Amino acid sequence: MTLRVEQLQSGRSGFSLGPVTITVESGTCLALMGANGAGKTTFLETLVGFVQCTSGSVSLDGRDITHEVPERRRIAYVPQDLALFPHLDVTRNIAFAVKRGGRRQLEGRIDPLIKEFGLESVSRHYPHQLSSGQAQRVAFARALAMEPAVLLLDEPTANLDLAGQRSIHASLRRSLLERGLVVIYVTHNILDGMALTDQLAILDRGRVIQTGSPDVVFHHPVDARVAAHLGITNLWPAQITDEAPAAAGVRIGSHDFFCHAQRPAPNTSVLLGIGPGEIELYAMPPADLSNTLRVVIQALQVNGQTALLELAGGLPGLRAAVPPAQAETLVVGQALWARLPADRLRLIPAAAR
Amino acid sequence: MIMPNPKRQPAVTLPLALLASLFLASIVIPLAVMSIRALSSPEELKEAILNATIRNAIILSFEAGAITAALSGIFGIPLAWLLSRFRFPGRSLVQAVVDLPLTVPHVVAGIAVLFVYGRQGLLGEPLQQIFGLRFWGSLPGIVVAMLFVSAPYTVSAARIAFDGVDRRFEKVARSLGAGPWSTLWRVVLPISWRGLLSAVTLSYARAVSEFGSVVIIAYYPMTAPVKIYDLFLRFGLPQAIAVSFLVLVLSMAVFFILNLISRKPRSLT
Repeated sequence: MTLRVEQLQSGRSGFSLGPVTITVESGTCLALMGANGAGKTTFLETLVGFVQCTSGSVSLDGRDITHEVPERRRIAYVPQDLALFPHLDVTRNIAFAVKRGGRRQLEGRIDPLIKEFGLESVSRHYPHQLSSGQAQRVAFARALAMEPAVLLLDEPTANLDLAGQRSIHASLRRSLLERGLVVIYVTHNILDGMALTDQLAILDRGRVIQTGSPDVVFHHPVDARVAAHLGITNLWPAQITDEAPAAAGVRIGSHDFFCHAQRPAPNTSVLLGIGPGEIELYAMPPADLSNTLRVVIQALQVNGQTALLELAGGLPGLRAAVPPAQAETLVVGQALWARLPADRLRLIPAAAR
Repeated sequence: MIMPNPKRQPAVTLPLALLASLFLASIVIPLAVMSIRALSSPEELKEAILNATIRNAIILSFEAGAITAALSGIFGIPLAWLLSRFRFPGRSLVQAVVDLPLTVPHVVAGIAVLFVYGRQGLLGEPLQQIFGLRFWGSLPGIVVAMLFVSAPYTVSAARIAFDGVDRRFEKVARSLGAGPWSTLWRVVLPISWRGLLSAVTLSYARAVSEFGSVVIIAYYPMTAPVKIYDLFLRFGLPQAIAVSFLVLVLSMAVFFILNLISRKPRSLT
């Protein structure tokens, strides 16, 4: 099964989507990332048929479904809030999509799903009696019960803790491989994008600005917008030098760095980027001082599961992120060594900024 | 949702509570005084219960009210659905037309209904000639008058009930293979039925209590409000009080039962 989206355009409430062109093969998962208002939900709802497309086409294995009604597309949709039917218990929620067949046939379809998603103990519970994790699993089981060709997931794990997300990812990955589904997974979380998917697409203002394997997109963002979506928020204009033998030499002002990226021609203007969480901090000078800056903590802000440090003395606007536990040992004014690992530095075409 | 504790904001809640109490008192006191007067004359109450014409009037009111509520549900709920789910040209106009009977004095509504369903009315005359269906001085006439004044309540309340159903339920149902009718039947109606029952209950309550429009199209057979008015004119207040009390008790009983059915269980809140 192949989902082919070609030059798809749609719009609602003054927002225009597309043209978007994407191909997703069966048994693979495409993660769709983008800021709020980038058009992720509009794209999903256009694929299901809730939003009318104005041009372009959607096809499944060559069958044009662009103007098919939603119920005939075989595209199951799991919204962010899951939308479990409140008047049906878990079993009947899952059985919703199973239309035909007697009781035995129905049980034959539903029972394995209940077992697969570990819902035996809550099969007679109503949605308001479920935990967030159980509700997620019911939503997936319900979507899979209709035997869809395509599964669209709109940030379904946004309300779960990390352990819950990992558990859901494992279940999803298994189901995906076993059933040979096409999965499109909207997420804000780069870790979701990296862990679960085979293909990553970055959506910005209704257009796909980069697509590829998560590894390629993550390590080779095509412009500053993609880098920002991926959390690479430390970006500096830089010049390629010719001084590093096995890697690209890069100069920012008086600082020289090298990175294990493709090596553009000398004197090319680029952007050098790195994520705050990728910067290594040392209290004592490391043995290898290459790509290392002497910095002072200017501000420290603990924000959920990370602590963000503003560092002065190195590069303008340099920020690093560390786990909150590590931040407890740090104080504002403290001098540190900040290392920008060569394998984490990205060279981004400057013209694209 | 965390509700503020009124005890902690007496400066705000006390004046509001005072106004609310005055409002409630204006409803409760007249009904309570009337009930006490009725109960203090058990003989008149017994006589009213045993009087066949009074019994028939009360039965006719509830019968006509029930038919009206059913019809307002059958015709009003689809309109409420359209208003809730679709944006179409003239939608505001349709909404204004639905609300129009609320602004018209009920006697005027009765006269308007009479013009259409009366002996020489636009529909009244042909319907009698073709089907033998007579509206003036009959149950159908009473129902038409009741429907005119009570249907807006059904439409408005049903629309609110439909508005309360998250559209994502419908989207998910459609993506799971349910067509529009199946989605309405299997998802929207089961989720909104309590609100819809409330809508029909409101219409029923309004219909049973209707006097102004009914008295114009059908003085006879008498509904309970018309009978009370008739007793009041002919015999004065004491005769009217016993019947008023009976109607009040029965109306409240029916209203209470319907509200009990449509109330959301605590576990779902």
